[in-house]
Amino acid sequence: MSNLLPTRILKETQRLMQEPVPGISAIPDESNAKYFHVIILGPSESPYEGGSFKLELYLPDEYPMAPPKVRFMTKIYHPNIDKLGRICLDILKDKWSPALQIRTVLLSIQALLSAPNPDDPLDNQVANQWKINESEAIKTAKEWTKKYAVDSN
Amino acid sequence: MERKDQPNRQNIDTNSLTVSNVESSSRPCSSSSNRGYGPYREVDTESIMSKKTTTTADNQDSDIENYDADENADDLISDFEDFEDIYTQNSDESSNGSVSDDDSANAMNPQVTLIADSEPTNQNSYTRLSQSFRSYLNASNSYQVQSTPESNEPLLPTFGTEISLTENSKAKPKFEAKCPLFYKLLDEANAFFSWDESYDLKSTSKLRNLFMNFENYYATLLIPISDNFKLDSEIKTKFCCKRMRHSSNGEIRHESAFDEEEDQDLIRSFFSADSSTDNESNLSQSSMARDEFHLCSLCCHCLYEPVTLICGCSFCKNCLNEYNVALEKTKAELNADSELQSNKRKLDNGLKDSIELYKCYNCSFVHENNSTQFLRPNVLLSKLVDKFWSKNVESRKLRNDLRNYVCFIIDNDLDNFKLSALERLFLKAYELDPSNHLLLADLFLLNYFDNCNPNCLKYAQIASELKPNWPFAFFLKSIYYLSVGNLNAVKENLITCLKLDPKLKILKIKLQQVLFKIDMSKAESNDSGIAHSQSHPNDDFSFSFVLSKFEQKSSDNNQQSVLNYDTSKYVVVNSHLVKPGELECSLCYRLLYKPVTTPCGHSFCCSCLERSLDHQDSCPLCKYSLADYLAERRSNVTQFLDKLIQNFYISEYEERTKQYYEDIKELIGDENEIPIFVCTLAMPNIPCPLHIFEPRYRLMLRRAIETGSNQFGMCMFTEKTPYQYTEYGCMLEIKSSQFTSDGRAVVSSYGGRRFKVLKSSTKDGYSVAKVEWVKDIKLTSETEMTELNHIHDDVYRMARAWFNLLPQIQKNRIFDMFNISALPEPEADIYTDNGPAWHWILLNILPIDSNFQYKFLTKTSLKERLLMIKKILWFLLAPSRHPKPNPMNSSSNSLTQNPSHSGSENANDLAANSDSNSNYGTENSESSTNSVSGFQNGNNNRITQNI
Repeated sequence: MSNLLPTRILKETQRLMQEPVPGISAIPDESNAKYFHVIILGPSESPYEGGSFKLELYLPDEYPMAPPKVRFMTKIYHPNIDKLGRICLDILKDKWSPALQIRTVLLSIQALLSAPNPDDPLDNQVANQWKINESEAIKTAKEWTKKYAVDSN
Repeated sequence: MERKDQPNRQNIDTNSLTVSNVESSSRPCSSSSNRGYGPYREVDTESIMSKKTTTTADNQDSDIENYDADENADDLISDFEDFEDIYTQNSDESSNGSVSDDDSANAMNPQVTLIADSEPTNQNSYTRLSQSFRSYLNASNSYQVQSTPESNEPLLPTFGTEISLTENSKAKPKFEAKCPLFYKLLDEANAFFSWDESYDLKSTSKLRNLFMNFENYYATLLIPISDNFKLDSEIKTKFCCKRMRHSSNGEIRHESAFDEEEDQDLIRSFFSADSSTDNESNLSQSSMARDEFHLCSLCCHCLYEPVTLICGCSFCKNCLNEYNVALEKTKAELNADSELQSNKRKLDNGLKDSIELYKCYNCSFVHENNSTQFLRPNVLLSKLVDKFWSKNVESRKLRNDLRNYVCFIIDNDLDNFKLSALERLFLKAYELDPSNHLLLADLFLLNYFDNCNPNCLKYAQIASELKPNWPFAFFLKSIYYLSVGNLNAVKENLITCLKLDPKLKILKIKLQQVLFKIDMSKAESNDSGIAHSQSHPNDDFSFSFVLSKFEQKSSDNNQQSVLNYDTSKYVVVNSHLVKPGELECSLCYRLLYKPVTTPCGHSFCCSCLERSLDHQDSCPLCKYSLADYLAERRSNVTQFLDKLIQNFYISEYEERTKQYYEDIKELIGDENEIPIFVCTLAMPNIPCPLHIFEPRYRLMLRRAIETGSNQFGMCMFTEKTPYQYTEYGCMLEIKSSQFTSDGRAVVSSYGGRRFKVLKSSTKDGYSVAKVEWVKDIKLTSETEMTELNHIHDDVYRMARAWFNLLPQIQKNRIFDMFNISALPEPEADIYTDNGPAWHWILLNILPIDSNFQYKFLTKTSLKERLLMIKKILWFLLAPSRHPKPNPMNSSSNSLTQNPSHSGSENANDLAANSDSNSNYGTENSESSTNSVSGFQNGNNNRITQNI
């Protein structure tokens, strides 16, 4: 059943190309069909608006039984994303289900940008700032977006 | 009417009355008589509203206001005139119509209060009836807002919402009309409703129960057995005497009673050859399922809100629930029946089973419990049925609404109804869909409870013609005949019913009872001589009477019904309605192959779901816990989906099957590519018990079994190779495997060929390797062979000597472990690929480290291996160097207890630093070995050094 995975990945890639999610682009690497170059646009009315964030997404061998590995390549000021770009998202860990897919994962990340959750932090410093002084944190997030996510493109 | 009602229903705003009227003018009216109810409807709605605001004066004011506000349309006036025409007719008819303008009437019957206020004319019952209907229809959700009723008066329902309506403000049935047709029908039927003062519905509660529970005859089974079939004590005693006589002859109890009957053989077949009829029925059922897989085998109608059981059969949710309720009740009843209990031994096995076990109605699959009420509707099936058989589903919805409606009316004590009015409603529905035999059953019941109106028989008759393979129709007939006392007809119909459905073991009891009653009456008639002849013409009369009625009625239906039946035998699926993409497994994105359905109603390919369950025991789509489902381990293909895909998506199915076999082929692959289980040291001829719980190895194991190869490679963990397991390994052949309830597996395997890894890769998480097989070098020269023979014999002697020194307990353990009774004799031919079996066994019980044992695996020279063993034995046997056998024994003990464990332990030590994950392929409950292994390692080191 080694065909099983390629069929699924093939179809997922196809569908991602045919009906792209607004604000998200995911393009498979030319040399590795399991590696995706992802760009998520900062959702409107969030501190990340106007920024375009690069991510990498890798489908492990056991995909879809194991969740894809996703990481932010662009620096971002977010309580659930750490300095290395790792993302704290339940569906990427224990809440993963094989019925989820690349599309849903990326949508969830986009939603995470709209709704940061400082109560379940990955980067404690950022989360604390978010809790203590939210407006300040949002300001910083906006600055970071301008600095890293706008210029880099 | 209905046009006016609809906006109110949809528009839930309390002020929507005006809107409704305005809209009503734009809608066409079907008949003038319908329009006549307009003003009453409005008034009535207001009257209901008035219940909220308790003061009468306010009500009147507001009502009048509203009424005035509504009066802006011209058609209202015409409505009004229409109404007056009708009204005068009605008032002529009924002079004693209840006048409801006194206070007591107001309190009793709020619906009519305001009509009296606004229309200062006499109310007759006819309008009152239509009032109640209308108020029921028009009830806007203002009643929903009203959370607690201020009086004990029943609340009126809202459409599309759950409402609390009451008999005594306690019971809270649900009413929710799902089918838009229902409203239309209700309005049409409204035109025909009439009020009959003299009418008194005696058995409302009974009827109500029936309508709630009555979906199939299993529920109805309960009624006659307690009421009509209960043998009175006199008969009972006679019955017992008679039976005792028969049982002393060793014969079936009713045999003698029917010596002259031609049905005797048939009856006998029901009572005696139970297993054979069971088989027949299985055949007939399955053939039916093949032709009409879209039917629920309980109601013989298209699946409605289907649920799928673990056995792969699908039923309507309602049917199944009611079947199970009936089953429970019947079981309880039968258990409580002392007579049956005392004769339990005499019951045939089939009956006993049906009392004691939970068998699937369709396939006789025995379910663990009766927990089917927790099943959720099959999502995919619901969708498919909706698309393919939308008309049937619509008709079914309509029927459900009608039934609920009847219940609702009875609940609300709106029993100022003539049953014929309800009958009309159902007849209308039946006109819309003459193929719906369930409506006929409802019609039967309505008539049956209308003092056993003989009309009911005609409905049963039509139903039985429409669905000749639907046992229920015949059961209905038998109910009727029972009520009129025609026992022979009861018998005939029960037999037909049983012929169609021999699984109805419980019916057999009833049949027995009927047979006995006939027996009794015959005996009596023989005594009196006249009774028999008297009863007969009566029966004939009733039958011919009904028949003539039926012929009259069914002449126009007949053609249609025949046509319906013919087409229904072949399932017609317009496969264009559903694209194959919609039949895709949400895990592999391919067409469902061997689809299974979870209790939460989601369908996946069998292998996909299994794989997902390796990782988590919840549904991939809804996270519903599938622990119980997994524990059953008996999931079966969902028949409906399988048949649909196989028969109507032929090319897609063929392609998918091809893919499946390609997958299998690839898994088997070329003979030199094998899956690798990285865990412990396995050696040829050595049994290896394994406990597999890692998801990836569960998958590997399942695939090994599925592809039929039944083997996999076993290697130890090491850091020395890039692929992190030893270069050499040994094949393990699966001898048996047992799965635990949570999906782990206990496998007993047996060492086979040795291999050397050439190239390693991964597949779905586990390793696969291209290997070459390791075989002993073939000796060619005579001298070498004689030399080897000498060494072999020599080492064997030493091994035997060492082995004999072991205490008996240890020996016994070794024997148990390897399933042998002595150290194996040397084989005649020692020049095989792996050499003699005994030296592998010996290696395994010698107190040496697995890393050292591994070296033996890599050697391709038997001579070399034997010489190494010789050195060990020499060391062990030298009394001066190793006088005490105890430590050695204890270490060998540890090895013999579980060879795989010692291997994994050492591997664990090695792996502790880097990757613990890969080593937990096996685990062992015997923790005592830990303490021994320390010594064992030390001992081994010494031996290794010495060599």
